[in-house]
Amino acid sequence: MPSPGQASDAELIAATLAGETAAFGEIVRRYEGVVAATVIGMMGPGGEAEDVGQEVMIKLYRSLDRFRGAAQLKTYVTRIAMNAALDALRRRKRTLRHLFTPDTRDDDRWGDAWQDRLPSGDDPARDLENRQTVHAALARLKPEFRSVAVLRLMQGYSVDEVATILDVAHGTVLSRLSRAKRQLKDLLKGEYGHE
Amino acid sequence: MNDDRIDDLLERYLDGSLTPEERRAVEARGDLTRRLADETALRDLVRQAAPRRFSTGFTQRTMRAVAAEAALARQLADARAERFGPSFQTRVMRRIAREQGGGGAAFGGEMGEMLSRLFPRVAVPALATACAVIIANVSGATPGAGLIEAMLGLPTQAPSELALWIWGGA
Repeated sequence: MPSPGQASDAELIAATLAGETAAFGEIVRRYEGVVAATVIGMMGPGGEAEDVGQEVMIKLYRSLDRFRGAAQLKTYVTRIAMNAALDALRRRKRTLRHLFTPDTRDDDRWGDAWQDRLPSGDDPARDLENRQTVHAALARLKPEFRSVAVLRLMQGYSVDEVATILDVAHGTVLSRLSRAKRQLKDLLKGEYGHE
Repeated sequence: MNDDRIDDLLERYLDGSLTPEERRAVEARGDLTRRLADETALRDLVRQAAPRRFSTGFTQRTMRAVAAEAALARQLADARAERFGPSFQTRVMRRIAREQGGGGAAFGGEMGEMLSRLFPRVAVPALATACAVIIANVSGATPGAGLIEAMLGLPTQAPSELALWIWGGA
């Protein structure tokens, strides 16, 4: 196998299945962003989302021998992450507003957690505020609409890919997306002036 | 063109999966291009809010958990490999018994175990039936039947009537 950083997903999977745990480390590094965007997008930042993120990677590790390569690994990982996040949300059973509230364990890390993920912009404080506003709006959507918004708008999956990940029909994605966007625009209108 | 069709066209436009004709048709309509600009702005806004990673050390923490998982899986696999089939112990014990000349004892033990399992299902109803038949035979065939019947408070009719009395509870 080439060096882990240059190996293809298929090579990394084969190496992992052959017992090279380090190869799986590269898979974790490669897909951390995908899992983070899905899980944090659905649950908001905090210790619980990190736990779910770790659970996703362990589920991926356990199920690698069942991955047939028909779909891209990215889609496969996203599907595991979305299912895990939805399960966690069901377990949590809080109100939508509370869904966005970070764990009390992490109250003091709230600002740091976001600061940590900021792109290098001219105005980090403004970027942080933007992110918090968008996530607060997402958190107010019902999970079935939020999942479509996170996958389609935040992660840029095609409508067909969203349908595959969520295991719903193409038309269902379109109707949920339409409602999600309408609600998001209403929620963000005050902040950003979108119609 | 209804709303669903427009939504579908715009999403496919953003995915780059429209045919050239469909694309030109969308771009020719001012209302659709305005909606596209609006859609694009919303996508950009939401996309820039995408978290790019978990907190520092996520990979290391995850890999520690994965290593523990892998170690456990290896231990379980080793434990499975160290065992024969589920009946291995029984077969070994039987063979030892045979080689020590205790085959009969082993058979007797197994037979006893089987009978003790079957006793509640077979032996109790069998004993009850046997008792009924004995009583019926005795009352009909022996000279002292009248005495036995009198002692038990039974009617002194024919055995068939006695059997009806026993089973019918009359």
